[in-house]
Amino acid sequence: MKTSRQIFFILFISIVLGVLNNTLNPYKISLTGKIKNADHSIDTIPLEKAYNLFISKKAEFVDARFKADYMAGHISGAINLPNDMFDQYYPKLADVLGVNDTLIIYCSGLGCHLSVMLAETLRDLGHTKILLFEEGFFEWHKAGYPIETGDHD
Amino acid sequence: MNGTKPVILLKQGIMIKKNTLRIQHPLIVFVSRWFLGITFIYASLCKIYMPMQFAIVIHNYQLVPDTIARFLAILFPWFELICGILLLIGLFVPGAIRIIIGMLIIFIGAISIDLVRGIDINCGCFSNCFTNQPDSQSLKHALIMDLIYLVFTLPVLFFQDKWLSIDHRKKTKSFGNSFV
Repeated sequence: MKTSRQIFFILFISIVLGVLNNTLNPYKISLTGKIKNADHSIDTIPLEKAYNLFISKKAEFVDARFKADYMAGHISGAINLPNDMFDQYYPKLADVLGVNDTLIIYCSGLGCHLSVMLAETLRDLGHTKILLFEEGFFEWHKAGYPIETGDHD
Repeated sequence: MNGTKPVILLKQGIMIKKNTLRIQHPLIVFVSRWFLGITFIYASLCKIYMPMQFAIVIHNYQLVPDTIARFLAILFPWFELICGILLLIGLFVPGAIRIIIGMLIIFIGAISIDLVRGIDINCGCFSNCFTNQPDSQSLKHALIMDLIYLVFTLPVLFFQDKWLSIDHRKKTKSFGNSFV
């Protein structure tokens, strides 16, 4: 097959598969609308304000990442509630995470989806004060704010 | 045979014509082809799984409108995946490598423009949805890596190896195995 035909064929197959994937993928995206750092309707909180709430201890930090990432390092005092084990973790944390408590949800950083998914799940369960800390652990760590490793008691 | 003439002696897979460039060595062509194939497959997987993440990455470059960013986020990873697979199996290599070169030139152009504009963002080239670690690769680092990938495309673009290559098998079949 000629090179130009190969290129056309590859592009055609890729476009078909891309469109198909975007139809079937649970994380599919629409073709219209403004892109924000995340497609969601959760209130966000910037780094400095998140830190202020951390200092005043007026909010509970919830780490949405996987257990291994959490163990490797997380915001001091944060609770781990991994998306993939939500059903196992959430009942144990029901006492800590009151529906009227201010919860700051974070994951790795900009572009990560785990915090959005967790925030939406918690909102659906009746939690009213949910804030999404989009900069996440990456920026928190970079700013030199308190972190800890291992499990949080 | 894509510019390499049959008179060039293929002895134990090594072309020994005088003044032969080292990048003609089949091992170098093979390694380059596989290196690029694996790299592009790896780069594509999380973008395919979570296209919104990649759309945000493209959006952060501030070079295209959001609708185009969404289109690119849906299609680009598939170009990467399909071309990567084709390079690995050695099928339609001339077409796949040209698309990869085209993508690399686009990446290099986009990164260069943002570097000149002083936009400080992470590359987003290898976002990892498996561990959910952010892609902290800086633009300068990404630019260097893309230039390295571009160098690796040269042997594959100009020469052909015969290992694990469907293209080569098809060609040798059609020529009655006369070159093997």
